[in-house]
Amino acid sequence: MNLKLDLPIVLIAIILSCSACKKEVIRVIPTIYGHAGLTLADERAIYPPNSEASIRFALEGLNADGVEVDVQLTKDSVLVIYHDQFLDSRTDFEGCVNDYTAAELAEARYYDELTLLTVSRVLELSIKYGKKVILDVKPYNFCQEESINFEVFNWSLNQALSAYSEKQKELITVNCRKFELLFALDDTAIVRCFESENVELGINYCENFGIDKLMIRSDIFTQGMMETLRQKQIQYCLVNIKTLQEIKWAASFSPDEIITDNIAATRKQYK
Amino acid sequence: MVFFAILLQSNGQPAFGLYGNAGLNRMGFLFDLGGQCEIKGHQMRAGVRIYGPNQVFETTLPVAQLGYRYNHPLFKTFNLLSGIQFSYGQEKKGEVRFRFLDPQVEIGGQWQLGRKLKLATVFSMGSAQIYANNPTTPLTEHFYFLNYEFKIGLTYRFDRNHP
Repeated sequence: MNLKLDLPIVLIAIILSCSACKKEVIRVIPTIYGHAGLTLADERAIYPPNSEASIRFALEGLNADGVEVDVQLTKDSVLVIYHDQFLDSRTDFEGCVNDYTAAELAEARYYDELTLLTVSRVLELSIKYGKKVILDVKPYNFCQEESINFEVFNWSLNQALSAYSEKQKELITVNCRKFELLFALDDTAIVRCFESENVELGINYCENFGIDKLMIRSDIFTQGMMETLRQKQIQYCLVNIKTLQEIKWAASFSPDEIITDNIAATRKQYK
Repeated sequence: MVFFAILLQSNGQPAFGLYGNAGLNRMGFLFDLGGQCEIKGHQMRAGVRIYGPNQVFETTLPVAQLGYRYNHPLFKTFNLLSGIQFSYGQEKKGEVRFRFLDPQVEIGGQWQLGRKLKLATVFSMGSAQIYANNPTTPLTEHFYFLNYEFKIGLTYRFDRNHP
C-alpha cells in the first residue's frame, strides 16, 4: 500500500463521512407579531399603542407578519381596542370600557388626539392584506369586578367576522386567559389561544378541549417546557419581548410565534 | 449653497476636520462619522450615520448625512452651535422597499479641549419621513413622526498653520 498516495484520499473520505454525520439543524422561523401594533411600551413607541398609525406602520412599513391588539367589550356589545383596565390612564374618560357604549367611546380622546379603534377596523387593516391578527381579549370588568358575558362576546365577534371568508378567518387568533371565553366561541375557523403561566393546564386544554395553541411569557419559559410542547406537537407563542437580549432568549426556544415590542430587531434575528 | 457662497467670497482659508458622534433618538442608538469643512464659523458636514438594529431598521444600516452649522462664539473655549442636518437611507424589508428621510434642526454647545480637538453636545429635532413601497398594498405608504435626538461627539481639526 502506497501510504504517500493514499493518505490524502483517506483524509478526504474521513472529512466527507463526518460532514454526512452532522445532524440536520431545522430552524423554525416564527410568525412575528407587533405588540399592540408597533409596541406597547410607551418609552419605545413612535406611534401610540393600539392606534391605526401604529398598526399600519407595523404591517405596511416594518412588514410584520401580524399584530396583536387588546380587545374589550362595550356596554352595547361592540369590540373596541384598548389595553388598560381603566380609561383614565390613556384617555380623557374615566371608568371602564364596559361601562360606555361605542358611540360614547367615540368621543373619548385617546392620547389627546386619537379615537379608539374597533376590531372591525383592525381586521380591515390586517386581514384584507393577508396579515395575521391576535385579538387579546380582556375578559374582566374591573369597575364592576365581574367577568364580561362570554356569550355576548361570541355574538359580537361573529358580527365583526361576518364580512370575512373561512380562509381569511384562519388568520385570526383569539387569545384569552379565561378558558371559558374561548370555549364559548362557536366559529370553528378562528384560532383559539390560551394564555397562562401554567403550562400543564394549557397542555390539558389543548389535548382535551380544542385549544389550538398556548401563549406564554418568555421570561418564565424554560427548556423543559419547550421539550414537552414539541414532544406533544403543541404550538406556542412567546410574549413579553422588548430588548435584544430578550429577542435572543426567545429565539433559543424556537417558538412558533413571537409577539414583540421590537419588530425590526426580531426580524433581524431570523435573517 | 449659502456655505459655498461664503466660501467663494471669503479670503479665509477653509479648515478641514473629522467628526464622530454617539447618540440616541426615538428609533434607537446612532453613530456618526464624517468630515467637515469650516470657514469663519460656518461648517459644512458630510458623513455616514450608522443605525440599528432598532425600532425601525432591521440591519446595521449606514445612512448618508449632510449638515450645516454655525458657531456662535460665546467664550474663549465655548461656542454655541445652531444648524440643520439631513439623513437619508434605504432598507429592504422582505418585499417592502423602505426609504427614510430625517431633516432636523439642531442646537448645542462646543468646548475647545485642545488646539485641534473639540467636544460637542447637540440636541436636534425634526419630522422623520418614511416611504414604504409594499407590493401587497397598491400605494406607497407615507409615515412620519416627530423625531428628537441627543448626541455627544468629538471633532478633530487639521490645522496646517500649527503642525
